[in-house]
Amino acid sequence: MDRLALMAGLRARIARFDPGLAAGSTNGRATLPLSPEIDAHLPWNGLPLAGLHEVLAAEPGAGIGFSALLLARAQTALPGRSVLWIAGEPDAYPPGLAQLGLSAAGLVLVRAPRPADALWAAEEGLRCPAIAAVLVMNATPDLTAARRLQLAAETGGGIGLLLRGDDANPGPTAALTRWRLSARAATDASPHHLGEPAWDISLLRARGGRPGAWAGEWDAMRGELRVLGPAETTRCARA
Amino acid sequence: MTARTLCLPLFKTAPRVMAELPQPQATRRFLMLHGEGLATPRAAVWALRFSPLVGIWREEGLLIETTGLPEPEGALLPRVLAGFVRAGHPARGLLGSTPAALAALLRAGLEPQVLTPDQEAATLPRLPVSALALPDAIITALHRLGLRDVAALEAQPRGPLARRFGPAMALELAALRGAIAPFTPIRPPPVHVAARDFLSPLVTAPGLERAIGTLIATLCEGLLTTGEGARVLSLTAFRGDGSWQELGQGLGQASREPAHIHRLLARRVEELRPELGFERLILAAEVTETLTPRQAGLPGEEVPREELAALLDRLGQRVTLWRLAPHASHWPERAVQRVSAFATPPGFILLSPWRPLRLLRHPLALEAVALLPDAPPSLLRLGRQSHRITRAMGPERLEPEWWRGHSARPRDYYVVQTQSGARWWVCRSGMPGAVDARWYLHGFI
Repeated sequence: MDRLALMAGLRARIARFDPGLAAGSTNGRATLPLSPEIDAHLPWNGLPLAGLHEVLAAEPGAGIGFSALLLARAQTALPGRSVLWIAGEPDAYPPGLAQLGLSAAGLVLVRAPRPADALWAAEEGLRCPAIAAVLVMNATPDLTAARRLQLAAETGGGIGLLLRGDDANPGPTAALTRWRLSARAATDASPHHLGEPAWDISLLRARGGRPGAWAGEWDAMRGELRVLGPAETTRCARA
Repeated sequence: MTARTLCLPLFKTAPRVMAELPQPQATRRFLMLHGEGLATPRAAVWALRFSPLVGIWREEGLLIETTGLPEPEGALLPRVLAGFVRAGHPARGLLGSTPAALAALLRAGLEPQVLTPDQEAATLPRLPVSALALPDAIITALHRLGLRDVAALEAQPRGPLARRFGPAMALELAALRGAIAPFTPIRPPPVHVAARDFLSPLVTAPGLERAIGTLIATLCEGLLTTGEGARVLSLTAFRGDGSWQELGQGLGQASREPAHIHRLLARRVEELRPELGFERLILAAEVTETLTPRQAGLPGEEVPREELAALLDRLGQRVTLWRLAPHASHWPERAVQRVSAFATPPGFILLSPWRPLRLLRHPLALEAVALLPDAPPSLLRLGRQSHRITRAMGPERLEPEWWRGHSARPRDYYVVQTQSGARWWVCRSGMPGAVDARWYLHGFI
């Protein structure tokens, strides 16, 4: 009990320095719903808006699928706003992305071959109140740059997604959460049928929360992420 | 009393504002310049610094319309002539109201001066016919007939003259008296222009930025009064030595927001090369659109479009932007097309649930092992790595669009899942069993 009171006191002190840093400011924060199980695990009761999140993709398809799902949820949560897709060579394909609920009408593709330009565009976009989400592919901002993105996201109110390849040692981050996505076989899969997209979703770190891992499947008919149960935590140990 | 009752409805229908509009000046005023190498687009663009309406006159000189310029004409003429001397094009000029007459008077050797319409009319009759813009053959013929000056020529009936010498004669006589004034400015004049002279030439970036800021403020005030917004801006900066530099800046959505325009132009200042300094800046709104003022949204309301347009304008200066719109084609690469980032494309219709999330612009070459030539692959080699295929769906055969020529080959698309769980959208280009059939990784699902 002492320990809990101490933690609460420390959190309140941190909150005075920087409202964005404090995990205690969870109650008033707008969030994106993922699925009931994951939302309950996250300290914000959902993926917080006005924040930067990092997605490590063990498989390109799984990473892009989960990111597209988050972008689509941001589009729904913040109607009338646009989504920026920033990459060295953006190759988003709307006929496929539409399955995850991402509408091409509000999607702007940004070609930024130089990483500095990509981060600049992401920061400008996140700061703008007309942008719901910004996806930056294969950019590895240092701590200062990531912190700038986080502050920009707090100004604009959208979410920033850093999607990059998996790394055994991803290093420190200024993002609120870091996820690792890998693909798995669907439950109803057979040698001649792949079934719905299915992912192993591991939460490597969440500011003010605990890591976790789930096996999830995208239910295209209902448009929701179905959690099948906790994943075998072999990958999680690496975090 | 009756007159009064009749007048009242007239006042109601015709608003008084009409009476307050500035009356057009009775006569248009022109400055005709003759000199070496003046009838060139280069000199004409340079002369835009004096007036927005500059034209090249019959390959012999420059015509500058000075109607409505704020400077008194007596001061304008010496200033323009001195400017041309400094730019390396000494010129003789006459300021008057009929271009053809001014050109003829200059050809006759009149000294640079300002002519009132009365003076002009008084000078014309004594003008020798050799000064008119007529072919030599006609002038010789006129001399032979004893018609030596314009007075003698105008005394003749027009009909026989035109029959004898052709339409050129009739046109020239009409132009001399100002009945026709053909004049094509080299550029259509923009309605909204802000210009400023600087006594000490501008060299530094902060100085230029501040100067551009004042121009933008003036321009935006003008745009506000007419209810317009700028779509294309042009900044022309004239150096002291007669050269100049032009910058064009487009806007995705019409705007008259000084802060936004200033932010866009401030990024371009580094492109300006002042060398010895700019002494005149002109900022013009070349293309404008009607822009009705909108109330700023209250908190919680829909985000105004201006925010997005301003962001896209800023991003567009450094990176390339576009949106994707559907295109009526079943061929995967052609099913989407790029449209402007400012457009609102329609949504996509799902043709098949098995379409990739990313379609690689340069498909990766694969080597495939299959049990049978037309069976799905059981092993795919990407680079040096081998991937065993555990599940495969397909084939989905796409035939090339025959109306686009015969270069493309039919493709068989498969959705495969490798042992690690990755889902790929792969295709075989070419018929199964063909020796030149190739496998490609075309996208990630």
